[in-house]
Amino acid sequence: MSTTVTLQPTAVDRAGTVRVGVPADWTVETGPPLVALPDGWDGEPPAVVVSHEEDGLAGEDLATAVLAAAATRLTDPLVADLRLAGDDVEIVVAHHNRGVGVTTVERHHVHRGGRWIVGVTAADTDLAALAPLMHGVAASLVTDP
Amino acid sequence: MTTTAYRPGDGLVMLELDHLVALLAHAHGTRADPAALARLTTAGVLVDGTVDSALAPAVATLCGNGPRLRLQTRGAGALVHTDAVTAGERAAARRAPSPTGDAPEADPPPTGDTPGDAAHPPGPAAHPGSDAVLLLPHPDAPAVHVHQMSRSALARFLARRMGVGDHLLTDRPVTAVELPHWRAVRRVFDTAAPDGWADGYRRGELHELRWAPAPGRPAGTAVALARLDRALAEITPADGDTGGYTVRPADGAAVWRRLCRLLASPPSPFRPAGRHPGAPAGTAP
Repeated sequence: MSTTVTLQPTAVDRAGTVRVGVPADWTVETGPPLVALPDGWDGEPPAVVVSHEEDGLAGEDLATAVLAAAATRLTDPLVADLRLAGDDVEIVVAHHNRGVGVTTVERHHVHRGGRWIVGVTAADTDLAALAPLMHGVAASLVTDP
Repeated sequence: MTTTAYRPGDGLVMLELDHLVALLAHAHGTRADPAALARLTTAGVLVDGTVDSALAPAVATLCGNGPRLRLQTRGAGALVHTDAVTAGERAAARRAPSPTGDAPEADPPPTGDTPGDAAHPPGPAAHPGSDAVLLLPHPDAPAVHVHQMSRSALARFLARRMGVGDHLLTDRPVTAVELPHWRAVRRVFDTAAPDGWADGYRRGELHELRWAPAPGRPAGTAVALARLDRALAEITPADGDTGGYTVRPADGAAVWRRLCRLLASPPSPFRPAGRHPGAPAGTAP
């Protein structure tokens, strides 16, 4: 079962409270996807999508599944990085989406048998400036203990 | 018998190098080899003396003053050049450019810096979704396949060609090593299988991505990677002015960001300091 949640300003209710940390100087507009605009940014806003899966995958099995999903679901994908942090997985994948070359930083947070997925996507042309922020947002999920 | 073949509807645009040079000279309005022009007309590349519409945007990019890239690939003693051009501002013709601009021949990478920010913005003749041209060398003849693509697609091609992505599947990461000079880096790729500091891998390729901001401008090395089976190493000048080089496992995401920065135009869209008008108080993570 998968659930895509709509974020109210950085908070969502789903059997508890889940928050995704957006830096203090970002403005936030409700999604999906959440559109978070860094202060001072004049380019296309990066897109943040939060979703949930309950397939029980974690660790290396999750990494294998994420890699396979990137290869089959994205247009012209190039996986630049794939890292494990305990049971969690983070992938950096470049691909083509709706006519634009983009890069997605996606973090899978394993939690209570399921996983929250935070994906941040920005145009390749903006990647150099946004990459640190993208990784920060993707890793910032806060869940109930 | 000519190698030139032109079927743009099927995605086939292959030009002998002499024909490509003649085509660019003709597009620039300078003197071109009549025999080559006749071949290009027979192939359909030239129609009534003008470049066929399917190829015209690529020719405009090649004739422009945009950045030039050359991927120099060494392996098993062979050296292969793969060239690319991204769109810049259209300039008055100075002379008939070579397909690769004036990027100098291989010499030791001068720095580990990325030239980056000197890229010219795309010119009015460039289509934003296809403002890069890749010239893939034919393996057995002096000819190139001409591919028109977006900058992002070019970045993905270059990354894959150098081994990014595949590197995640290695079971033998590269061991970091310090080497005294560039010859020590390069010579292990002169044998059928890499030896020396790359001993133990079955196949090896050394990739140097050279970049010049415009024709006639000096080129620098943007990225130097060694692909050893599936492992990937980045080669950078050693700390201090020793003339040596450091070989270490490559960070695929960092290499990708550097390629994006190299090919991006215009610069990043951050405004000078000042709060976005009307922004609500943020929520700290």
